[in-house]
Amino acid sequence: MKKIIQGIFGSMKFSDSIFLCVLIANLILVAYLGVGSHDKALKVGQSQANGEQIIAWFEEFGQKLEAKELVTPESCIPSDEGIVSAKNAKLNIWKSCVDTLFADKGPFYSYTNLLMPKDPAYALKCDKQDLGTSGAFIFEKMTMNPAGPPSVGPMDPQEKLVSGMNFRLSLCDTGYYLIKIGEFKL
Amino acid sequence: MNLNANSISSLNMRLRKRVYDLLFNAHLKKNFHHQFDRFITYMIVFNMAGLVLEHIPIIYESRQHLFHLFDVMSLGIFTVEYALRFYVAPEDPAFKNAKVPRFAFFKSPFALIDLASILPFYLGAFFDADLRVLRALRLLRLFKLFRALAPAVKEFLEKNHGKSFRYKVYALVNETPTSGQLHHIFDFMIVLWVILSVLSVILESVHIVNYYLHAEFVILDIMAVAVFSTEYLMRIYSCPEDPRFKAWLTGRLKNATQPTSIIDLLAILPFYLESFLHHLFDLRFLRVFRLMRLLKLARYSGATQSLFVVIKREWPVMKASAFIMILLVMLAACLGYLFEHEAQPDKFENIPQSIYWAVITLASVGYGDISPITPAGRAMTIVLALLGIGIFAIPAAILSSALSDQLRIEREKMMNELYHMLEDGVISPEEQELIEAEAKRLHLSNSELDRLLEKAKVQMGLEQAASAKEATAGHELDLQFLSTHPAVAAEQLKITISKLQQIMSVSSADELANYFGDPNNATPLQSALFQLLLQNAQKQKGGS
Repeated sequence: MKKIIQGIFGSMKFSDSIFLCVLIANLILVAYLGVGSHDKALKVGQSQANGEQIIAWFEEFGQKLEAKELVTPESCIPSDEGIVSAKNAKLNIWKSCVDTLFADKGPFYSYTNLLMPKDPAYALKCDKQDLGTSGAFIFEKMTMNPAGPPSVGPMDPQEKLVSGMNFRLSLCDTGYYLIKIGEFKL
Repeated sequence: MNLNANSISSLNMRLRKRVYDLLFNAHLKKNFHHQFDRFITYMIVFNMAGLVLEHIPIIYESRQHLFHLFDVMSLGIFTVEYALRFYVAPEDPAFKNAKVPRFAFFKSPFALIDLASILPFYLGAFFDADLRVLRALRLLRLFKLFRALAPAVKEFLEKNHGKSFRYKVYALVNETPTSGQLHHIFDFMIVLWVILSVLSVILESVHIVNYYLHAEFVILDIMAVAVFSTEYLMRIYSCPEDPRFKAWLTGRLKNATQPTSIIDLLAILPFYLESFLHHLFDLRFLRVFRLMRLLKLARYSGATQSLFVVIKREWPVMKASAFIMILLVMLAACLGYLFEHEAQPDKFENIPQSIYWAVITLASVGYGDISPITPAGRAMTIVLALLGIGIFAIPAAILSSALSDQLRIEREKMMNELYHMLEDGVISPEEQELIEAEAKRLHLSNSELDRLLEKAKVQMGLEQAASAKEATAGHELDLQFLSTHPAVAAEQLKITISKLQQIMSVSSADELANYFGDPNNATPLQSALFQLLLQNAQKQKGGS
């Protein structure tokens, strides 16, 4: 081994040492940047797992509603279509539902924005002008289209919750692109 | 009984020798040594890949049995390999002279590594062992790669003994007479990383794959950038060893502007740019440029190099053909606009839109999204479509004929090299290696290479015969040629002796004796030779 090291590095000059330093510095830089990227990738992975938990919660919530069981929070209980059309009917809106879910003691309280910890865990849309939306969950409203793929649009905070509403949950990634996590129905 | 034991022992020795020659003898050319080594190397690499994949739950959990099956199979293969090496150790020159060759093999470093990579699993079958420890021990199989690497490093250091560190770096990354096997291993590693990283870029675009393996793709990319950036720095640093880039700064800058160096840079640049500037610009599009890494493979393909040479050589003709093409496209677009604009203002809205239609028609693609409806427009399209077949085929024809021409030139060049090598009548092992490497580059099969060699030998034989004939006719001997051809020299000597005998038989012996008797007329050697010839002539006369 000593012979091999001697054979490789034995005839080194000063310029060779500089080259080796540059080589090592580059590897350290790549490792440093890489650790940062990997850390973010792990956080995205963790957020995806959290998103899957959210979908599982909503699916269970939907099943309980169908079985006419008692569910909480009440602010997320959708109204039947007939009631929606009735005047003066008090209906739950999406904003109050999602706020309750992510509020203290809410079921999603622990699901924070892992990429931007100071910013909200959910956002209206993935917007690169608003840096805080990176890492946030994006809830979108899906409108089924029998002739083709469903149309998807941002979920208006004032949107009234109606039975049978379809949602898509995505995650806003580091490059402000949506990563689809899954879909659920209320 | 004794005879029977002897014959079994002899059979065993013959079998051992046969197995050694077939699988382990590196000095024999036509055995399976390289294939066996390569197979074991691939098995090690696959084992490592398996080890990595086992840590990805989405892949491992549903395919546990497959992983287990592969592990058992690998264990079996490595065990057979170890057993075979142990069995043939007395035939191996490295252990042959030891008192107990098999024990010498057993305690050699590589054999210990081989044993360490299989033994824990057998022990695990008998003792209660932590499975995680056994799995971790599989990492030891990676050390088996040293068996392939160690001789290459040794050969590399021997060949580059006394050379500067920079030259060693140059010889490692470029093909030089002192590069040896280590350079091929280096090339293989780069090619492997290119393929891996390109595959990962492609798979990243598949949502379901990227969803579960995003972090793994990030790790792969980081490792690829580390490998490629190290390679890039090594190439730039060592390039002054190439006479074309001798100056330490301008040489390196010149090297950095070479197409292959630019490709190397483009392969790593997206990572750095995205890491440093992602908060300023949306640089996600740069990720696609990682596919440029595929172009790095051009460095390792002789055919691609030939194609670059052809394009460079045929560039003026290509330019002329491109000019005709552009002219036709413009003309067709203008006429299309003229005839169709009024009838279809939405489709032939302007000339740029007509250019799109003209190109699609001329290139015989014909999407059909824009098509003429007026009689004049349709008539023109007929002419255009027919012309397009010919015009668009010109560059392809030029390139294909130029490529075959280039191949012919390179083969002729190789033939000339063969003539040069055959000048001394033999092809040395080094020359043979060079010929084989060149044949590989030119994609010549073994039979084609043999045919070329035969042709060169016949040609050389004819030329030599002709030159020998000329030399004889002119009574001149090419001494330089004779010095390298002992058989021809012997023939020439025999002919000369016969001629001397003929002269003796037709001349007066007394007069010649008088002449050679005078020491001023001839040297002692010439006089002695004359006496020998005289005695021979007198013997023949007496005999007759």
